Amino acid sequence: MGRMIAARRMQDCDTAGRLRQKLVRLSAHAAALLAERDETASDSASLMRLLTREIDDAVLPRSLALMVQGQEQARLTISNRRLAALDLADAAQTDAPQPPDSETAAQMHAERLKRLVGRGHDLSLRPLGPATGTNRGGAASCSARQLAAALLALDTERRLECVFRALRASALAWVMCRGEGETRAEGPEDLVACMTGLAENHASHCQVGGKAPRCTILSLPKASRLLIAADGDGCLLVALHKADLAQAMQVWRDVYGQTDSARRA
Amino acid sequence: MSLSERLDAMRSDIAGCSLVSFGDLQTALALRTSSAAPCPREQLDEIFAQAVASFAAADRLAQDMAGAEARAEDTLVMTPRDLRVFVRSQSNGADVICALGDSPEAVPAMIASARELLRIAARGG
Repeated sequence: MGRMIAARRMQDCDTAGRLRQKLVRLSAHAAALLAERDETASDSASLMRLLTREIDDAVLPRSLALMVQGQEQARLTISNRRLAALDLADAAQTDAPQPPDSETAAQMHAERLKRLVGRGHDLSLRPLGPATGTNRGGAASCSARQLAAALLALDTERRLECVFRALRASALAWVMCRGEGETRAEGPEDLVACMTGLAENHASHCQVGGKAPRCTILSLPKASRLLIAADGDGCLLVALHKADLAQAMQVWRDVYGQTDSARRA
Repeated sequence: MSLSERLDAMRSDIAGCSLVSFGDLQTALALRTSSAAPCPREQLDEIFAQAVASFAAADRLAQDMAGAEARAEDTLVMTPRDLRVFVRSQSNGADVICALGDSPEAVPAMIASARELLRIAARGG
């Protein structure tokens, strides 16, 4: 009889969650797993769900195609639970150097996926079988989690830009900070200086709760308000007349999906 | 009426208000909470940390800007899931009320009720 090992509780909730998902999939009916193949994706989040499932399931090298109405849009090679290659069907094959590391690979693949999603079609995955030849994933590859983080970073930029474009016309002053110290600003010098001081300190002031998006509203003199939208490593500060605040809050809620369904989730 | 009963009353009187908590800004701790659904300690900690951070930002703004409110009484934080109103006591240092709602329409009522509750708490009620 084999040696018994006592059960012990996993301390890492993330790992425990992923293990649970694997067990659920292992015990799922074949029909349910086949039905997954019919799922489509129309945005980054749903596409990432499809890809994560495939990448996390893959051990031996295999190829997949991302399809739109029967037309191949991109080809992926996955292996050893990592995405090894992603080529867009309409992009010229070049001798571009391979990404030097997994982070760069994730960013490169995320940008390509973003371009695909941006075309506005429903994407589906089609398995193509074992990967052969040079497409077996020898270059720097990335995990599904790295890819998801890179996609989220691209979304973060888009969402903050979206809020910025909507509020710019009514802004008394604004400051936009990206990660890595890139800052743009416009407005009266003294107001911008105060806002920049806050923005530079946004890691401690605006981002409690990790890098999740949030929007803080503070009072300013002369019946005006300061809206601080923080998302990932980015931070947008907009000074507004009090009368424009309700509309600005609605813009943020529209962009960040503060809907009834999101609140119930 | 006890503080817990007042928190319950505030939550039930305001449509969409899912949580009201009385706590301390210096320690970022919730002392009494009324919640429609069980609220994990981690979430309360995060809410109070956010209250501390938002008032720190408000204080810095007041310090840097001529003509700014000397001591902001309230701040507001939106997340993709809820809307958080933080009101601090004007007379009793670190006392704070954190209230979670689901729409901007409820904000004035949350601020007014929180102020009243803090006034009563300051009187020892």
